[in-house]
Amino acid sequence: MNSNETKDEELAIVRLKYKKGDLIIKEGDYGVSIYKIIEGLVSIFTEADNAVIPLATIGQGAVLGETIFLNDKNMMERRSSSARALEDTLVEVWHPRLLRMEYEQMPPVIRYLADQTLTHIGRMNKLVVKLTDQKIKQREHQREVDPWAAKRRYYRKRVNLPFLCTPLYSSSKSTMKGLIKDISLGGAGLEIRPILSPVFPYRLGEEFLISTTLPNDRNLEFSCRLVSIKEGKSRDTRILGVSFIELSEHSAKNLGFFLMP
Amino acid sequence: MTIEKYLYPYITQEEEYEKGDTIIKEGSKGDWVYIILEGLVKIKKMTLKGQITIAPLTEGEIFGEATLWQAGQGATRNVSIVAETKTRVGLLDTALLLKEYESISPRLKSLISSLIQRLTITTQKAVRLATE
Repeated sequence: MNSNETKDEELAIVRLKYKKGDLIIKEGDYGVSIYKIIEGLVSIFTEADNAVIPLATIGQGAVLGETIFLNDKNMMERRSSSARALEDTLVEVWHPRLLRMEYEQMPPVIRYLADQTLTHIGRMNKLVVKLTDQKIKQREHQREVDPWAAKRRYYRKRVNLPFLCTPLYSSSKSTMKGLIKDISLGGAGLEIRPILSPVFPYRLGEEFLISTTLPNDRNLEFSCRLVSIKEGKSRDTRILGVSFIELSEHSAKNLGFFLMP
Repeated sequence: MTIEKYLYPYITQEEEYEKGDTIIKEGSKGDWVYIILEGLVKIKKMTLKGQITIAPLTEGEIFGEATLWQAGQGATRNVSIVAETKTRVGLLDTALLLKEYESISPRLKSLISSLIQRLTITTQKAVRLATE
């Protein structure tokens, strides 16, 4: 047995299990360990002005708490963000001393690249915090001005677009026609006129494929889920709320340009 | 910021760009890693609302490193880099960098690849917030 192995044994790699919801790292705490996710899902977040700001969601193979290790000058540093298990999570705990020798042997140029990436992550985290903060303030302002609009995540535009709609999984494969009355990047409001059946044949949660042409002559195709059914102005019409499940890159682009104020 | 001495042997070539020139185009293929020797650049990303600026980079800073670790796999650039002033950049020797990278321990490798992944996730998040 050589000395390296002895060292590894002294600082044996430990595996720890965290339950869904457990805090793995707490922002502001002093910590030395680095964790590699073996199984599970973890949210990295920070707190500013009493608001939780998610920075990233990471899974199997990703490493947590690495900033401490890469900070060469001080191995004992406060954690710059928190980490919480979003699912039951298994991690491998690395003691930094275990990595110390490997780190010292690392070519300086690679260390430089890693430090640069770390600096860029730090900058992006700050940007995310700043933008989230702006969003929160914007929403608060909107809520004061227009309580209804603030509930919506996306800007919604009123339209009158004929569409064709095919249910994705229903046994009935008949096509429905109607008008898209409003649309945003998240979903749409549809008006349909059931032709014969007095009972609306679809239930909440059902999925549809819808195609239409935007006023700027661009095609739009999306899959969506039925989230609300209301009676329209006349008794045989229904107003359906759908949220997008999938929007092709092409369609998202067309819709994005159309929705630009 | 001065350029660390140990970086010079890795610079194989220098290039000069005028203000407004695109140094890296988002979506293009390439695995060169650059270091800014002089000048200022901006990281930009295409969104539904057009191209937005994510962050500035200045002397001594590296860009293009995200595709290095996937060199030879035809990785595409996920941001554009545009010269903000007259800029001089050094191109780092990719083969030499990869050789150095291969020499490090598997643990450090997973740490570095995790960092790259984290940067990508956080950038996407910032872009989403900026354009929502």
